[in-house]
Amino acid sequence: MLISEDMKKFLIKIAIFGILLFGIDRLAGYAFAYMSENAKGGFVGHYHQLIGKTNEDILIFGSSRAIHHYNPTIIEDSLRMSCFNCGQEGSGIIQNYGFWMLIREHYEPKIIIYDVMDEFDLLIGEDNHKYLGWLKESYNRDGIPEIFESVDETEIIKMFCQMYRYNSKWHQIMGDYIYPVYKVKSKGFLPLEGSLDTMKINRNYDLNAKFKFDTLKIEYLHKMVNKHGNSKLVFVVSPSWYGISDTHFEPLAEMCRKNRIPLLNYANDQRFLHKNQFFKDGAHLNAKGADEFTKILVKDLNF
Amino acid sequence: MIFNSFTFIVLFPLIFLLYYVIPAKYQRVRNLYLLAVSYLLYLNWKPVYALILLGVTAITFLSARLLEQSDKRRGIVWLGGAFSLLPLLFFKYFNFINEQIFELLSLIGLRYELQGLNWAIPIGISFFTFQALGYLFDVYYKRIAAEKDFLTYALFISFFPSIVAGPINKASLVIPQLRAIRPYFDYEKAVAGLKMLLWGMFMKVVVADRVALYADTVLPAYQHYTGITCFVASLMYTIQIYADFAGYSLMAIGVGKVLGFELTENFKRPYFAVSVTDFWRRWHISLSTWLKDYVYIPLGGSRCSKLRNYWNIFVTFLVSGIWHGANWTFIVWGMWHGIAQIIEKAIGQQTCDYGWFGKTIKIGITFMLVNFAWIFFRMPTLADACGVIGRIFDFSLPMSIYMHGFTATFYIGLGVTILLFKDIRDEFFPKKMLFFDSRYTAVRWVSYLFVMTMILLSGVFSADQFIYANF
Repeated sequence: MLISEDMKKFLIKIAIFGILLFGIDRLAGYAFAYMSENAKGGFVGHYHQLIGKTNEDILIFGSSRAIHHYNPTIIEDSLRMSCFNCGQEGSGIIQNYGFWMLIREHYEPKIIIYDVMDEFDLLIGEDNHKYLGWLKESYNRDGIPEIFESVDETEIIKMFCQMYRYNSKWHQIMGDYIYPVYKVKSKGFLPLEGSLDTMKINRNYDLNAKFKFDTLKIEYLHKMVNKHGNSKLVFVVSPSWYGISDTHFEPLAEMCRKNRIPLLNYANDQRFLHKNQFFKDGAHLNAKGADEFTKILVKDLNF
Repeated sequence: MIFNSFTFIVLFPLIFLLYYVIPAKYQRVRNLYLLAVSYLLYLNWKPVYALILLGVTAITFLSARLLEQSDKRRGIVWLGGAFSLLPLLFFKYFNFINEQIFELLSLIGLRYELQGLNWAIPIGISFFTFQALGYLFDVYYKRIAAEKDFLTYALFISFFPSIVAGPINKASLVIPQLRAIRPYFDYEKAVAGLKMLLWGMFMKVVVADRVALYADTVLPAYQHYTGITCFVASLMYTIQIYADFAGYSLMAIGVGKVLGFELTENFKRPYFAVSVTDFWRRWHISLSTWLKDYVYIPLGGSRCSKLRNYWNIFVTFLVSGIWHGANWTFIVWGMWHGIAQIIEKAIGQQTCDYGWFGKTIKIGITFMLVNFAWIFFRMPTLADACGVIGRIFDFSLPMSIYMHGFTATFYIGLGVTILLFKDIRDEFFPKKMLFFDSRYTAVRWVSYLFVMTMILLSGVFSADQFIYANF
């Protein structure tokens, strides 16, 4: 086929644009990887600490409820074991299973406490792509591509693009490399100071709202249960101002029963339910509530 | 076809290459290829709904042919129009009409309701139906001759870049392009198309989908947020709907250009409008042109008494509201725009000139009017829309703003600043700082690469549907 000169010029320019973009993409990939691995602190530093440098006896996994609810100092003092809070904002089982895959490359803790949140760990909720965010830069590590493939097969192709790996994270990487504002203190624990913000209580919250289980999330809970190795695994549902229907945890409860894994559910615990003094908002304990809850938890853990 | 989807990125280069494999002299084969691609993409969504597309195409094609051969022109246009509108009325308005009849009957003690439909609305039905009706009316008013080739006409209705969310193209613009032997490849047009595609993608994934994260958090649960937060959320939605729809339109027109076609321009920086009337010359231009040509002018337009003219404006925007959706919120939104324009006409808003200061005030007032109207457009019920507005004006609430985390705020600020900069430049300094159109190759290429890099680093890639694809 004869193609016109214009078409030839067009295709050549497209190719040049592609090559230039490829070059920028590679350069950006190297630069962001370097800055990320050498972050001086912040969330990026916390992530690298978590996946590469943790060596504590007890690790706590979960979402923001994990970060704000579990005080490692109380756990360390009571159980005489070192502890680190690996909680990440908005993370669910898909992401936490990835974290676990990365951590177990260098060691296995004695105990894993997994804070379960129904929305992120069991039920159909937001698009599961959101759980891949932090794992993107560790994509080349063992076991991680399979997680991406399970969420969306096209992610495998998208991950060829280095800039996509740092999508919506680059400002944080640059900031934490140059001057981190947020410092990881108290072994990953981030207490919420202050009292309940009643504006954030949803008065229309429906405890019996319709829900569906997310088979992918349940599959990853199964994987977590089957791949915790020599670590002792404990699932915990921490307190909620509203309470959470037990039916949301049925598949997990069944899984725990079969595999003899403890599941401690404090979601409807009368010591916390609707107790304003212990909460910052409907889903999160404040510092006082976190300390109170951690003390109760270590007694119940009974190790 | 959703332009910000992975499927599009993979498929479009293939569609492009195969299209240009066909020599220009085989224009009919090229059209047949584009028709096949358009239908295959439509079938990919819900195969059975392609029959509706085909049905509307066939009805309007045959009606237009009959119009040229018959004396009963009025009857044919009414019948053809009614049959073409049936699927739209059925899929989009059945439940709404059913509910309203039930409510009315309930008032006199009769509680009889038909089973509601739980079917998805065929994608792009409002757009292709209006495009087909526009063609039929143009033939009726003898503005164009009826198309004799069904293949050409079917491609005009189903052309894949514009079927999902417009622009609603005029037959007089597109059909001649389909009939003529197009040049094998128009380099300038293709480059212009790629620039539009790139900027449209930026508007969608960097701006629209990012600000949506804020609006979609606050507005559905507005009862729990302060008045200022609700107001900021309404501003975010105003930005979202513009970036989303104008972004989509740019991409659609861009794809058309890459394939050698000119489609209707749909947006001209609407938020710099100096009146609501001016806003409708800049927002969804293809729909406002349609409404002007086939509703406003047939009603009498402005060549009548003042009162009749106001009525014509009101009815036109009522139709616009109904077109957008089967909900009282859309009807109120349409009436809001109609009434605002009537007031503007009555007070002579468009004729007064107070210099740049007056223009700035006018832009500000128009923006606020449009912004508050969008609240009705966004909220699911009238009560919710009034609830949001009530909260905005409840000054007893704390004066605090909900921040969606530093990351979200940073990316919202970044995307909106770049978009605002570009729109200010296009509107007020069109000859200055021509990045994409600079005469310096280096400036042009750095601009392309910068925008592409911003898309990859800062875009939201959850491949959300475009807002207007729901209409």
